[in-house]
Amino acid sequence: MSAVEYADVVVPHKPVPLRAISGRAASSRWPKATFPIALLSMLAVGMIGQLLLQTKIQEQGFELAGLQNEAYELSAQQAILQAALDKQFTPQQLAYSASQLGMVANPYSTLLVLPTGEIIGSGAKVRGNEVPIISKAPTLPSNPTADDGVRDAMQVNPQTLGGQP
Amino acid sequence: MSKPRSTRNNSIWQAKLGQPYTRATTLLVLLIAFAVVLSVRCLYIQGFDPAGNAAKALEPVSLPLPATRGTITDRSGQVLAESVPAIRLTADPTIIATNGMIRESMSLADRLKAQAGPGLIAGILTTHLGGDYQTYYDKLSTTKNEAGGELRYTVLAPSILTYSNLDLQDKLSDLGYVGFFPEQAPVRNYPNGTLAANILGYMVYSPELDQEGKYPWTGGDGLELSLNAQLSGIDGEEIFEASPYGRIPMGTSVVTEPQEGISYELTLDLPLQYMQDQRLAEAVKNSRAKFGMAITMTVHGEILAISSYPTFDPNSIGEADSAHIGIPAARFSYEPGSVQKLLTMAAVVDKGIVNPHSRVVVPGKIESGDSYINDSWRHDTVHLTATGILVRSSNVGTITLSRQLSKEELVGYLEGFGLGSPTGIGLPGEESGFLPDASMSGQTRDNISFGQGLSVTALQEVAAVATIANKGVYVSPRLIRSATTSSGTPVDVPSPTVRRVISEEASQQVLSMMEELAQEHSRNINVKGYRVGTKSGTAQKIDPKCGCYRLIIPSYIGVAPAEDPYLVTYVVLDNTPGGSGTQWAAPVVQDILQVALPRYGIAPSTATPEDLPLFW
Repeated sequence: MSAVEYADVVVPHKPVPLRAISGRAASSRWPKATFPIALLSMLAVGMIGQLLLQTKIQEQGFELAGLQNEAYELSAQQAILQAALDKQFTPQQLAYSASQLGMVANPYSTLLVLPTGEIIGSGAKVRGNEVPIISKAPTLPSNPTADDGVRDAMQVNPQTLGGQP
Repeated sequence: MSKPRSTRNNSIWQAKLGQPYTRATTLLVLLIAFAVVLSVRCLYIQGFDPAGNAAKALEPVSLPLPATRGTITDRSGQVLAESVPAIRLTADPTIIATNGMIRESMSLADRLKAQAGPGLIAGILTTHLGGDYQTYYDKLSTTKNEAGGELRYTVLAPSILTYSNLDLQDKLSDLGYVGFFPEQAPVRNYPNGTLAANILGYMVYSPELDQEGKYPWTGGDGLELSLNAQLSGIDGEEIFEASPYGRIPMGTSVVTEPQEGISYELTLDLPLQYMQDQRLAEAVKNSRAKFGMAITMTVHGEILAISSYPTFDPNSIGEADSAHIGIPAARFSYEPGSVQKLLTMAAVVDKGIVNPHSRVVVPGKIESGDSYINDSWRHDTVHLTATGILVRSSNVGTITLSRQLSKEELVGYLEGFGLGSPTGIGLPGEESGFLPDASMSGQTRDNISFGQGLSVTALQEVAAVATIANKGVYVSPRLIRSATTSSGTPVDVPSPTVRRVISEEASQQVLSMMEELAQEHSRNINVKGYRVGTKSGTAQKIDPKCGCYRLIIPSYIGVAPAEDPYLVTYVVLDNTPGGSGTQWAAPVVQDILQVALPRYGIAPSTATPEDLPLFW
């Protein structure tokens, strides 16, 4: 190669100094951490979203279960209170209560026939021994029974019922 | 010195990874590989046995929705039997022994806590449920069964009111112990205790496994047994999709609502039942009878009260004497004795053979087969009217009249009155009794005419006499008045059998004879304000100890008011050491009718009965 051949080369007056540049910067406009950060962000958003959804579902699930349980308990309590009420209507209980109030049976009925106004029978005073069946002061059953259980559940605290086979 | 080969390779690889293109390619390859794996998995799941895989993943869960057992009430709606929700508290003693931990991995603290468990738990159970501390403790700490194997199940409390169970469970949870398992175990509550217990029956666990491998709760006797299928209803279920993590939100859920049991209203009148029970119990004790039965029904077949004593409390069936459980009125068959003469008399009157005034020559005894039959009262030949035969309860006179009927006619009448076959009242195990057919011997014919040589149940006999009181029309006795579904829709109930047996005129004539008899017995039966018609029975019974007739079955039946009968009451006492129906059973009939007649608004009698002659 001769010196003449090099004469056509333009040489700037002040050459630009050389500097090191990174390969990534040279090949992409974005910082190299952006991609994994975006991926991680999406994953995090997804996980948080799922967590929130899961939490909400569980919360509602618990609420539903609680309400169902409460409904069941209330219906059970209603049934038990009804049983206690039924106990108060038993003939034994009514006879006992009537006896405690000093009431006695009067078998001498008097009927008024409508529309004639005819009176059949004649009422009479009673002493309380006219009907031997119910003349004695009735007593409540002494042996423990289901109704005792229900009654006591309302008044004292035994929580067991009879009637279980 | 050159670098080792591996180090050089790593350097090359790191250098390549450092290249953006290489990294992107690697990531892409990994993503593609991941996508391929997912696709293959999807293909496998969806392409091969998709239904099976879906089933595995979804795990449909079935939750039983038990049907509520129907309620039984009396004629005024008063509850006789009802179901109350309750919990059966069970425990696994093996779990409790280690408090649910693996024994080998337990620390000293865990062991000490587990050892203290049974005592602490027993204390809480005693406080909450009552009962014996030691019993609870033994159940909780017994980990071996009788065969020496692990004991995994014990019942701590058979039935606890459901809402009380919450508090108990909280207390147990606070202790930090595990191994308790509450089970749904509804109890059947009979608020009236022993009243009508024989009719209602009781509940038991069936000895046979059902389709779910459980021992179903079922009726053990009485209406609880005979109406078990209808009362039970049909359990429902909820089927929903679930994963191992629980129910899948928005997943499929199919609910089959339970069909609640049918509720029944009976013809029974509970207050009358109570009074009848009281009176019968007193009579059984006074007469030293083995047991007694009393039935009050309308002449139209509606059973108002049906008592037996001794009886039992269905609430505590386990404590009941087995001899007292059952339905004597439908299952105990016996020779009815002289009450049977009413049916014989009704037959001969209906046939026109006699009327209340007919004159009959009654000898002191009458030959029957190879022996003689006489009356319970010694007499020579007497001149009795047909009414006199009934009032004096003459065996000889009744035989004399019954011989005017052919055997076929007699059997036909008795079958018409309902003897020899169950009444169809709907109670389980109802007896037919025994009625000889028309090929019977002459001696047997003589015997059945006055109440021996055949057997009846109390239900059959009272229904037969009610026929006479009901203008000659037989109406089979019934207990069920109506039935409804849980939504109130009426359900058909069996209709009674209705048939005419004797004419209305014959019925009236026999009633007048019964009324004459009541006047004869006025010292033992006097229903103030009302006319009644009655008949006593004092049947003899063979004592198995001697094989001889020396036991007595006193009975008495009354219909009132005699001028227009509405009620029939029948009382039977078994195995009294002596006495008669008039002595022991008549006062019971009187007292029951005395309270029953005004109760149903029956106007007191105003007319005077006809006085019928007994002799001529």
